[in-house]
Amino acid sequence: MNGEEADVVRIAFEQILDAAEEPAARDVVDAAVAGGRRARRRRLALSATGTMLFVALTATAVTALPGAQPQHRPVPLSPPSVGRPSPDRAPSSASVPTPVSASPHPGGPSSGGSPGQGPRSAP
Amino acid sequence: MCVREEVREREFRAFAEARQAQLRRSAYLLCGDWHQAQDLVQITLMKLYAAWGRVRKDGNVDGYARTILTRTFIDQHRRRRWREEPLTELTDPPSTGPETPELRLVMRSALMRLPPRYRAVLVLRYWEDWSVEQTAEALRVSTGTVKSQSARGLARLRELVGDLAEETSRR
Repeated sequence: MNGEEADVVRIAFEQILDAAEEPAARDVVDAAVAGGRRARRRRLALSATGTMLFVALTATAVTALPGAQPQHRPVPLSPPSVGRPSPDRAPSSASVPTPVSASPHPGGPSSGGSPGQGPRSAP
Repeated sequence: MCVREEVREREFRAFAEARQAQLRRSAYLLCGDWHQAQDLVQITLMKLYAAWGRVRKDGNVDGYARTILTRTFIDQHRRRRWREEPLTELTDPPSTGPETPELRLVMRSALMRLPPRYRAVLVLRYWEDWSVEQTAEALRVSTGTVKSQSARGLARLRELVGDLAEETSRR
């Protein structure tokens, strides 16, 4: 579209407005201010409610999280000198010292390893 | 009311009182009815007041007001079309009595027969003198859409003016 055509359209708009008998305008500013204030208050109230809901939900979620409560209770270790290792428990090198783990030689009697044990790394 | 609120209201009133007549004329070009135009301006100013702090900070208050006006007009028209009937049937047909300036009425009638989106594009581009980019941003469409809609709108307007002028001269 060229500038000439734009001018024609603008003049046409001006003519439309000139031809239209504009009635006396009532003042809309007061009504707009009142309505705008109401809309703003409503929006603020909604936003405050939303924030409170968010905070409440977050707090609830945080307290309900599994990691938030102390679930990992320390298991009391049995005293090392009391009794012998029970046969139904897997041998643990940390709690029950065995002659195999005590051996300093990798090629010793324990070199085959017990079934289920992983390969040991070289010292 | 606190001092901040008072200042805010005073600033808004100064702007609204200075611009309401201009806004009303733009609204009339969009909807073709002074009463509807008045309502459109009131809604526009109400929305503007609700966002006044942010708008003032941005700086371009005038542009923002016109954007709200155009969007409100398109939204209202969309809702009305969905609920009631087309606007072309709602607007009064122009009276072509011998005392009325006929060409102007033909122009107005042709403009009102355009789809509202085309009308909005034409008003923003050629009445408000906005660029393609500004118009696209205000209407939330691409610049390509603005270009095609303004070209189609103008072509349709030309056609309608030709048809209506012919019809009027035959009477």
